Amino acid sequence: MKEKDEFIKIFSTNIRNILSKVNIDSGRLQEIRLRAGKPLVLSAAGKEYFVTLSGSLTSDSEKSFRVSKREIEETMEYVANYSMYAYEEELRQGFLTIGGGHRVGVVGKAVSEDGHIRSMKYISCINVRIAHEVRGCADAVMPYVAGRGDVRHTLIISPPGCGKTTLLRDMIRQISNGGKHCRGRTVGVVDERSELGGAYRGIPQNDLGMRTDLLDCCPKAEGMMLLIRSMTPQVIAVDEIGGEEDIRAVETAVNCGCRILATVHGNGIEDIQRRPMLGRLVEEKIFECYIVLHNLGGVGKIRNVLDRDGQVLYV
Amino acid sequence: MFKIVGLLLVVCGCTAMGLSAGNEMERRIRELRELLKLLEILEGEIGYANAALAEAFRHGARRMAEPFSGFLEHMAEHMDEFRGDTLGEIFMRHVQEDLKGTALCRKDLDALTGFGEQLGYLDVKMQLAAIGLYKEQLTHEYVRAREECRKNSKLYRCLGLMGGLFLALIFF
Repeated sequence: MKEKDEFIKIFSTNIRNILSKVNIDSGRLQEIRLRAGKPLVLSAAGKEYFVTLSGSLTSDSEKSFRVSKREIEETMEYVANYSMYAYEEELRQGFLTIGGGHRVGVVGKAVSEDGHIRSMKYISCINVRIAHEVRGCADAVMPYVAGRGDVRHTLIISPPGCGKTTLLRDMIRQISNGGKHCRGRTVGVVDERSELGGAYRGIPQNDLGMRTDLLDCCPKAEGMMLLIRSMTPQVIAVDEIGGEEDIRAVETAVNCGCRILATVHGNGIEDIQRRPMLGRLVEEKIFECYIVLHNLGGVGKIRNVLDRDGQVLYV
Repeated sequence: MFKIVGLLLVVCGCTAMGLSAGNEMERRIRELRELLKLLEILEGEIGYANAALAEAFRHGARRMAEPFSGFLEHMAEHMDEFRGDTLGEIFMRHVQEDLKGTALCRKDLDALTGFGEQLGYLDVKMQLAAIGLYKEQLTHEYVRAREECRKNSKLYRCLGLMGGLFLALIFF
């Protein structure tokens, strides 16, 4: 499988050999976890499996292949393409994004300075979260997001790992290309963690549509302002807003006449209302559509779609 | 007749050896200068563009002359293959394979290999410090080589000719 082959390249040669023997549909794969001295763990379709040396999946941790410290080091060399220094900022945040938009979370010993994490050393745990491009996954919500010819300010609310980035990516693609719900719009995407576009050397590896301008690896607030100034987008899309600056940038973008598509962590609109800055956006009814996700019965399940007054439009 | 031709060949051969020794010294200087250029490029790529090494090597390959261009290109290719080698091993292998035909001496190649072992792991500040340290060593070596060349290249060339004439006299 090409996609799988490309993706498993980032693992140490030993783990790569094991994973290449695993018989699993890469479309179902969610996470691969490496912990020094601990079993190799793989999550697929909401279930956790241990991986044996021969590449078979088991629920018995004793039979599992154990990851060594050296394998973690080798994997990190590949993840960072032998250039850890180039990922200083990412390591400070605890994760890197690799080609294809896959997120590699890392923890080890944090090096602190003035109460802030300066760097990460002795990396001992790696969690690789596989990004999936699911074309058409936004079909069900598109009538609410882009119905009657106009794109609405939309906030996707979801707990971590429930598919909000995947959903946002497909919404961007559909709005950019245009279709039965709306004509194609110019979409500006600020992809701070390279997860939406999965850009490699600036070129998106995921399909974000024909009218999309991607600003890769740029802080969201600054990026939104830059896009408004330089690319005159009709729609701006950002992933995981939350900071004070992000909220201010969203307000500015809305006041500039851009439509906003954004995501945020949470279990429902109540969680958002409790946050000081985001709560204000809800109170002011800036967002016209809320899409709430959950992972009961599989990743990317839509719990409901609400309008700006909190009225349920879709369950 | 044959004797004269033979003696002429001895003189020419010895002169060529002297010229070659002088030229080798000049070639080493040019190659040390290329290495300094490589460090300037790496400094810019890492310090300003925050480029990963493979990318920095590729950009460097486009701006450098052979055999350094091939050396950088092959290293970048090797790094993208993730074969299980450390960066130090990749660097050592390509120094041995791609730079074997250069005029750089063993000491120069060992220093370059040692520099390769310092790359990749540290933060940008430390990375630039490693480049700076190697640059300092290399500049010192370059100045010394130039000084030696200035003093010795003429000497080697003269010695070659004189040695040839001396041998010709002995065999005459």
